[in-house]
Amino acid sequence: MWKLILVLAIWLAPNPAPSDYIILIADDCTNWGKIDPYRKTARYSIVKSTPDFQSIMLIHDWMLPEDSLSKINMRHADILEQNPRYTSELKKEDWLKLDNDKRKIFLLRPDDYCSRKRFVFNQQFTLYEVHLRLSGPE
Amino acid sequence: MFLELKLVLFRSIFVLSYFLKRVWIGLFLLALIGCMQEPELPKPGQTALDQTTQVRAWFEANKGSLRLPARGSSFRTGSQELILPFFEKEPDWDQVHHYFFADGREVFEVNLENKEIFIPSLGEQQEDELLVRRSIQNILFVKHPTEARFDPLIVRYYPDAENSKRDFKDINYQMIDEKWSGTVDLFTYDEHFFIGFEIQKGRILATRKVEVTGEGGRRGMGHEQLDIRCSVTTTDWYQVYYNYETKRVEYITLSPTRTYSCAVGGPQGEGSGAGGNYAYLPGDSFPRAGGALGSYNPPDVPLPMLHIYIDSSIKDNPRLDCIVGKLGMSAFVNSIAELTKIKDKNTNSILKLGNTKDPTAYGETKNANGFNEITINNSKLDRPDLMIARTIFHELAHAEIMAALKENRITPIDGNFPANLDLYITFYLNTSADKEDKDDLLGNRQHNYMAANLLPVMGRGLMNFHREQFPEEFKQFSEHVKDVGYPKGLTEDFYMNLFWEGLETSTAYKQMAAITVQPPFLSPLEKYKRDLRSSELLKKACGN
Repeated sequence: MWKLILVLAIWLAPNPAPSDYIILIADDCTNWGKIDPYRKTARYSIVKSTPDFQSIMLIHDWMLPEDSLSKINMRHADILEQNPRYTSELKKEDWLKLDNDKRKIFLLRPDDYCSRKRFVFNQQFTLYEVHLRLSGPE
Repeated sequence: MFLELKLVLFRSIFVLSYFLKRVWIGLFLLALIGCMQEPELPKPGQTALDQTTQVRAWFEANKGSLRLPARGSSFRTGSQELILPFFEKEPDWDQVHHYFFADGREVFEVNLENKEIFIPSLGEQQEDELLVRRSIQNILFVKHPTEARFDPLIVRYYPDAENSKRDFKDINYQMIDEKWSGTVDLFTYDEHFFIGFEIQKGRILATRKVEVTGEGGRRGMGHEQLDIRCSVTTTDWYQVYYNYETKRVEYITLSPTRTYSCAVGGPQGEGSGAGGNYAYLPGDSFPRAGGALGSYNPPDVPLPMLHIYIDSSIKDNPRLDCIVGKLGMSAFVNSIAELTKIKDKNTNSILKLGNTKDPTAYGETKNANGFNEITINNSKLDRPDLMIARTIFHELAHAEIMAALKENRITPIDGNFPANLDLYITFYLNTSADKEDKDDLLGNRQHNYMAANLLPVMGRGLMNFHREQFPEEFKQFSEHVKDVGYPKGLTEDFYMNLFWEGLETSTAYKQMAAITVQPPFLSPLEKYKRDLRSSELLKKACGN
């Protein structure tokens, strides 16, 4: 019973206001690779390399339960209404700005975006709250 | 048969009772000793005092034999070696600095009570009088690492101006503040010129060698004269003493000398091979390692180690201040550098927070005229404490490599440093290529060196730092990574992997990245990325 209540609570919890977060769509799907692909967990992290950054990581992972990151569900049409950013279009400066942006980042995974789910009417996508990690020279 | 058994039984009882009696006596004696008062242990404060007493006793017993053999005491010799007139030294045993050289040798630096001093003339009598007043002369007693002796050297501090005048307590050979400018000259106990340093605002700019000009001021061209990094000046020396009969300070003019000032890394530096120390060699040769000289061996002396001043930009940031404070307790960091918030040391490096040339960089180290400037990018601070510490480790390694190269010495982080180092440094130092290119070349080549040689020692250092300075987080994280590639908890491999970041341009990295394995195993590159991802889960709590 308590599980049902928990699920309902999560399900009915209001989504954060759009101005409080940024939606990132990993549309250059083939450029992104999963970190630690054989790890069996709900945690999810992807990485890609660009000429400007040896690695750009989007990390949905945590060490302690109290630091856990959230997820939101949204239809594709609703996602598009939130002015999402497409990772294929981001330049070096955009990534740096994003890195210093205090707002939360929610990711539409490349394996979801580049799947046929995008073309299914009213399909709900799960957006993952992620940490952005840009590598840098030293 | 029965009688025999009885006899054996009686004997056994007798032996047992005898043995028990002895045991009781033993226990009684032990209890008695236990009740006796223990001898008083030496109090901590007395140690240095006792040691000074030992130095004093040694000096009193040996001062008659502290002369270099068969070298005479005249001012001039055929070799042009500068030997000033000898006078008996009178240490003031109430004024003592006690410290250690970087190689672990213990040093007692004692002020001399003598009213007699030698000065290099500034040209004007009035200026010379002021120089006499602000100069300090001390005697260094360097404890021999294996033998029971304290080899002395005379050190004279000649401040450039009145604002560099210091009291005895405010300056010593390993503590020259960032505002002090002047010359530090070392002499053997019997006044053979040994080595000198020109210092400007706490930074060593040049080493000095002084020799007499010889008859007519002419002599053959030595390598130091041919070296463009050396400048040559002629100086008169004065012997200054207090005449108790006339109750006046008297000046005796000594013959002129020729001084070779060579940028650090010049001929003196090249000769300072063993442990980066300068050793005394008489005659025309520049000081270098070795040279046993009979009963009195002038001890070799080091250049100061990295003395890194923590800039206010770091001190004013509580989190960075906390991280750097913890780094100051790291054995790895302590092996190569002293982090200080006070510019009262031989500051040769600065650690600051600011903008890096490359805005994507975590940090950078620049070297200008032998001074290292380590900058941590202030727009890349939203990272875990451990990763900021890693960046500082990385930049310190750059600074240490540069310092070791400049001073032509080995480094504690690599016992095989000269052999391991690429020849690129020689190219770097001897080319006049565009500075931008040189910086890039230097960085890349140093990264090659670091990737090939320093990863294990840096990884171990960072792991120890994490375990000792963030014990709770280390424990939690060690549990966490049991599910992420480290079933037995954290190992040095994890920390070594973190150091690959920043070394991506190195050959070793490219070799590592080229290794492939069959799934479900992870390649070294995948493990590196996995560990970087895991490190992102660490905390940013220092100073909070």
